[in-house]
Amino acid sequence: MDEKRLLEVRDLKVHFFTDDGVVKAVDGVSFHVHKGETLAVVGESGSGKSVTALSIMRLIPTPPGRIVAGEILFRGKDGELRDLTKLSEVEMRRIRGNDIAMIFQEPMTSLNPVYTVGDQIAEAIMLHQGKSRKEAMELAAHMLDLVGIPEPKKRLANYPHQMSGGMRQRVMIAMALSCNPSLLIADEPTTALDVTIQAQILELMKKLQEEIGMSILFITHNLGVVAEMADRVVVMYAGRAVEEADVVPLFKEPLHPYTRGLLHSVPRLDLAAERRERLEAIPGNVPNPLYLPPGCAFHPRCKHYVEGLCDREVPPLEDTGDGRQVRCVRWREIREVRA
Amino acid sequence: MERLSPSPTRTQLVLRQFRKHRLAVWGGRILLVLYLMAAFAGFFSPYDPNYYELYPPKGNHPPTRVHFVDPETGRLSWPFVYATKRSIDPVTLQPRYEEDPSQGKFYLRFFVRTPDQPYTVFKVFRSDLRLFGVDPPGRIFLMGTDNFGRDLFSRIVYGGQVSLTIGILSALVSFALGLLLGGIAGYFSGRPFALSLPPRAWRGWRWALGLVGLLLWLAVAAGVLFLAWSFVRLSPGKGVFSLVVDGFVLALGLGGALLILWKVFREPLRLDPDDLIMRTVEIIAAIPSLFLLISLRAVFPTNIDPLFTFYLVVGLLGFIGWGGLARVVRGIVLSVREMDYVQAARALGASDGRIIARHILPATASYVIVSLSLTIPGFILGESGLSFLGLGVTEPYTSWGLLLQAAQQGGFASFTDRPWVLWPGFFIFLSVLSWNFLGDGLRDALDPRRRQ
Repeated sequence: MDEKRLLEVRDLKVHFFTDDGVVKAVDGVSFHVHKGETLAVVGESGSGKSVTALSIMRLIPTPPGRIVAGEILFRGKDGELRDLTKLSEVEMRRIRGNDIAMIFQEPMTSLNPVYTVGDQIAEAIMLHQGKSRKEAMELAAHMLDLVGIPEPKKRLANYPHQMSGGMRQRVMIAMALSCNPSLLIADEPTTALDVTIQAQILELMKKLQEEIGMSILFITHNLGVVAEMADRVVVMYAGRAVEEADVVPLFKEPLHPYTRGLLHSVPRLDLAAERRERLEAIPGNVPNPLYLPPGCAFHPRCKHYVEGLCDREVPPLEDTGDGRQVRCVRWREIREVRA
Repeated sequence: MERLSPSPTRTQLVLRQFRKHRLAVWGGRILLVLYLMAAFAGFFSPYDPNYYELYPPKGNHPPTRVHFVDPETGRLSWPFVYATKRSIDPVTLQPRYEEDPSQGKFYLRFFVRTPDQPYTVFKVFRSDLRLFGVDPPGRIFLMGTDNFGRDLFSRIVYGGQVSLTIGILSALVSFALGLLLGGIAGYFSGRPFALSLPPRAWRGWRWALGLVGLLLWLAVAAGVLFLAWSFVRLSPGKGVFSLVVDGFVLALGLGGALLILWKVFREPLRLDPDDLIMRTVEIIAAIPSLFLLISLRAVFPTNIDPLFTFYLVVGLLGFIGWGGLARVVRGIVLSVREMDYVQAARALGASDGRIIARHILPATASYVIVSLSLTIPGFILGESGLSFLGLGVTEPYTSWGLLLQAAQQGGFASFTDRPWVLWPGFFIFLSVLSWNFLGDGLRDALDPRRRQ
C-alpha cells in the first residue's frame, strides 16, 4: 500500500442475513484515506455509508451482519499495516479508540447518563494509555479545554444532562481525540445539532485536525457540510460507490446522475432569488435493499436511463483519467451535455 | 465568565424525596435499631442466650414486672423488680411465679458487668458489659423465659443476628446470581455460542475441544436411546395399544438420537445464552419453591454443624430467588445495550465485560436497590418458615423462626398460658414491615416520575 495512505478499503462487502433474505448493505466498496486528509462519504439513508464506517471499526452486529469479503488495510500508529477484517477481537479492541476513534450522530444519547463527563473521557485514556486516574483526569481537563469548553476543570464533574447538545458533542470529540487517534470516523456528527452549533463544531473539527494531524472519515448526507469539510468525496448509492472525486471538481462538474441530482436538490439562496424555480428533487425512493433493481441500482430514478443499457449489468467503476472515478455507463455523454 | 450555579446532585434529590415518605423514614430508623441490637447483641441483652439456672428453675417465667412506684411509700421510685417464688399449680401442673418482696428490691441498673456471662462482639472483642440488668439473685425477664428458663428477650436479640442477616445474605446471593445471569442473557441475546464443532472445523486447538464435545454429544444421544429402550423394556402390557406406544417411543428415541448426531456432524450446534438462561429460570419458577427447599434441605444430613446449616439455608434461599430478578435485569439490559453510549464505549475499545459492568448494569441500579429492599423481607419470612418447619437454623443457634417453633410446642395452651412466647413473631412482623416501607420509600425516591 502507498506510504501516504492511512486506510485503504478494498472491495468491501457487508451482508446482513435476515429472515427475509440477504441484505447487501455494502456491496463492493473501495476507497482510501490519505494521512491528514478528510474524506467525505455521502449518500442517502440506507446507502450503506454508516455500515461502511461500522465495518472499519468492526462494530457490525454479528449476527445478522457479517463482512463477507474485502480488505480493510490500516496503518496503525506503530507503522504496522494490518488488515482489520482479519484481526482478533482483542487486537481490534486495542485499535478502537486508540488508532481509530468514532463520534456519533446523537450527542444526547452517546454519553452515559450515570457518569460524569470527566469519568467518561478518563475511561478512554486509562483504557489505552495505562495512565493513573489522576493523570487521566488532568488530560481529560486538557481535552475539554482543547475542544473549547470553558472552565474545563469544573465541567469534568458535570453529568451529561447538565450540558447542551453542542457541549456534549464537544465532549464526544474530546473523548474521541483523547488518545490521539490517526483516524477519526465522524458519523453525521452535526445532524442532530442546530445550524449555528453545526458551524462551530465543524470549525472545531477542522482546527483540531490541523493541530493533531489526523485523518477524518466524514459520513454525512449534508452536501453543505461536505463542501465545508472534505478534501475528497465518495458518493454512495445502494451499497456501492458511484462516484469518487476531489471536492472542487465534484461540485463543479458532477458526473454521475445521482450526484447531479443530489447537488440540484440543495436549496441555493443565490439561484432561487433570480430564477424563482421550484427545488429539484430526485424522483422516487431509495430501492428496497432486499430487491435491488438489476443493472445500475439508480436506473429507475435516473433522467439519463436508457433501456437495455442501464438495466442489464452493474456498470463498472471507471477511471475518468483525471483522478476521478464514476460508476455510470453514460458518463462521457453526461459530461458533454454539461459542457 | 459566570460561575456555574450549583444544581442539586442526584443523591441530594433522592434524599430529599425519601425524607418526604415518613413511613419509610421510620422503617429505616426501626431497622437501624434492630440491626444495631443484632450487631451488639451481647450488650443489649441482659443475659447470655443459653444461660439458665437449674435451681431455682425459671422455666416459662412470665415477663418480670418492673415497678416504678414504691408500694411502701406510694411514691415514684427508681425502677426495681422483685425476686420471684416458684410454685406448681396443682390443677394444670404448670409452674407459677409470684413476687417475693421478702428478698428485697432489686433496682434496675445500667451498664452492669456480668463476669459469669462474657460475650464477644463480632467474635473479636470480648466483653461482659451489658446495657441493663439487676443484681442476682433478682432476675429481669423483659419478655419472659422459654421452657428451660432462658431469657426470651436475650434470645430474640441474638436470634435477630440470624434472622436479619440471613435475609440480606440470601438476597445478596440471589442478586449476584440474578445480575450476572440476567446480564449475560440480555447482553449476549442473539449471539449464540457453539456447543459442538463439526469435524470439518477441527483445526489447531479446536481439535481437542471438538473431540470432547463430540464424545459428550454421543453420550447424550446414547442416553436418549437408553431412555427409550428402558421404557420399552419396562412396559408391562403386550396388547396392540401397548405395542403401538412402545414402537412410538422407540421411534422417538431413535429419531432424537439420529437428529442429535446429524446436527453434531453437519454444523456447529448453536445455543443462544438468552434461551438457555431464561428457560432455566422458567424451569426453576415452575417448581414449587417450598418443596424444592425442603427436598434440597433433606439431601443434607441433619446432624451437621449448625453454622453450616445457616450458610446452607442462605445458599438455598438465594438459589431459588434469582429467577425473577434475572428476568427483569435481562429486559433492562436488552434495552440498554442498544443505547448509543454502549456503542460509543465499544468504539472506544471497551471489552464486553467492561461494557456490561460499567455501562449496562448501573442502569439497573435503581431497580435493583428497590427490589433488594423489597426482597429481603421475603427471605426473612422464608428463613422463619424454614426454621419453623425445623429445616432451618438449629439449636444452639437461635433465630426468630426457631423461637416461634419452640413457642408452638405445648399446643394451643402454650399461647393461652404463655402468650409472651409470641414475641419473636412481633419482631418478624416489625422487621418485615419496616423493610417493606423502606423499599417503598426508596422506590418513590429513585423514580423521577414520582418526584415533585
